[in-house]
Amino acid sequence: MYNQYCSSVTRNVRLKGAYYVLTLEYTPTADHGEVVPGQFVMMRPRLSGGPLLPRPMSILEWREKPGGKAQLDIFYKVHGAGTDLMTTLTVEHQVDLLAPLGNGFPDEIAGPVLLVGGGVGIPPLVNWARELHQDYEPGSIHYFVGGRTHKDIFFDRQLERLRCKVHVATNDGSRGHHGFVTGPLETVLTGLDASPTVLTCGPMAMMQAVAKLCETHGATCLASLEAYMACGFGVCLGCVVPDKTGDFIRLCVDGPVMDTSMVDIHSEYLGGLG
Amino acid sequence: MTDMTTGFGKVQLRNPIMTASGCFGYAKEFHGQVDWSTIGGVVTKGISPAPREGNPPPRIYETPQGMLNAIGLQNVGADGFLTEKLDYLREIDCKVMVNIYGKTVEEYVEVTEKLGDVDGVDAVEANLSCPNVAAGGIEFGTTIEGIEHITIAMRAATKSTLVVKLSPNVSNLGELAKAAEASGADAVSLINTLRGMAVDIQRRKPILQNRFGGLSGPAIKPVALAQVFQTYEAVTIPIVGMGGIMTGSDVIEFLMAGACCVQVGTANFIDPQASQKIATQVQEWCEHQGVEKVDEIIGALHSRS
Repeated sequence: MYNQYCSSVTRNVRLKGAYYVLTLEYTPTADHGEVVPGQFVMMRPRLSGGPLLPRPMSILEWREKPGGKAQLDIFYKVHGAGTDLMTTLTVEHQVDLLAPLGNGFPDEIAGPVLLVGGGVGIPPLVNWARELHQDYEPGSIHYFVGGRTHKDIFFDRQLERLRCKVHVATNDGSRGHHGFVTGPLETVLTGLDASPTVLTCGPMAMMQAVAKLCETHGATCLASLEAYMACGFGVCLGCVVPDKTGDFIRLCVDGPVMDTSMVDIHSEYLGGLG
Repeated sequence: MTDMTTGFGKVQLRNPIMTASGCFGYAKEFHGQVDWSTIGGVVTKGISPAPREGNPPPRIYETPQGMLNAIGLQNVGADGFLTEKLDYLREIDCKVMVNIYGKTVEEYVEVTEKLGDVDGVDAVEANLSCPNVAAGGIEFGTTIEGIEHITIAMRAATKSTLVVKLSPNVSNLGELAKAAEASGADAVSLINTLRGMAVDIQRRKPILQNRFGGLSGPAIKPVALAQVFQTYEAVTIPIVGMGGIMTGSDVIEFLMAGACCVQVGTANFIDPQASQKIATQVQEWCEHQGVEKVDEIIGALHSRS
């Protein structure tokens, strides 16, 4: 059950470049429940001059803490006024949270599992791998991570330590495969005997290309999508995406994780987010 | 303890706080978040005769101290409302107003006949002001004749309390409010959103797929207050005020400008408990100020006795 919480900032650290991790702490209510990888929160810092509306943020990690508390890590990249303001958050600050929201990835996913992420889209995938890697044979989880340069690649070594097979791709060739992340993905999809499940999150163009590859190779593709969202709990009707029948479905409550065979991921209406 | 009761038509509200149409779904979305006994009432999403899919996305965008929306009245339709939504609304301990939208006079009448007098519905609000649909709604709401047609037809179709929701996108709001009053409306509600636009300069395109959207949130509060104030001078029927209400003191401003009660809209997106918290703040302010009855402050800015 989602609820509104006033959280406090525990940490707000820069990893490298424009990428940061913000840690928030709050006291969940009894009906809060477990957080499923792929779920998200709406967050609104209590800062003067901040945005009016809360922003949807994916969860890098959620953990219970002593004393009935919980902590939440949010991985973000500075790319506008809102995220720029987020970097000014310190332990002095409070952040309004609505959590947990959305469906998340399914409980049981038959292996092999291919995680395909790009840019700031990696948190739900990393979260999933950290939570569930022990349920899988070593090497049956693949982590494909793409970025513009080597400075946009994160959590590759961590997931390697969790015995995931890691495939890095950069647009400028400064690390791993020179090109899009779909290059190494296609190679692996072609070579696999068993039918894999692909979990993807990242720029819309990347997810569209991943979904197309999955269609070609008969793989299930679960994409964690993004949209402008005002409320996060199904009321504003702002975050709709078209399904295969042309109906509009709400990302916040019916998603954000969608089976790409159900949603019209190639719709002209998607991809409006810069 | 301040007597917070207020109302319009046959509707008696325990306090002046309602929720605004389009910002509160069908109330069930707020189950467990809002204690229904703490607010005056709720207003449903606009209901049309048949279900509507709404506009293609992107549908919303944040602007300075506000947001644009072009949802396009996505709703379950009158029959869907009766079968899927009404049961919950019957159970909640506050008043229920159904917002009604049609493309033609006949469509307004059809929904009003279906929903106006059913058990669980205390009032109907004619949506003559949605800026986001191609036909109907605001088409009627911007002319005296249009408002007269719809109001008279809906008045004949139900015994329920009838509220006419007006648009700020006009130059003669007072005249339009008078037309609603003369045609049998029990109250007018205002303001709906202000028509607006946002531009993606990289793509050289409007951000909203619908190009235009309705602006809501704190950015529009001063406009709304002025419109409520002016309308109060024009009509004698009660005014339901709204536009950018985020706090209890915002509500007091609307009451003083002439609203008998208010609707909280965009604030519900930011905090699902906003309506309840605002109601508490209004109560606390009144008690702190020694207000015996909330009536005392309604229209306090006016010299009318």
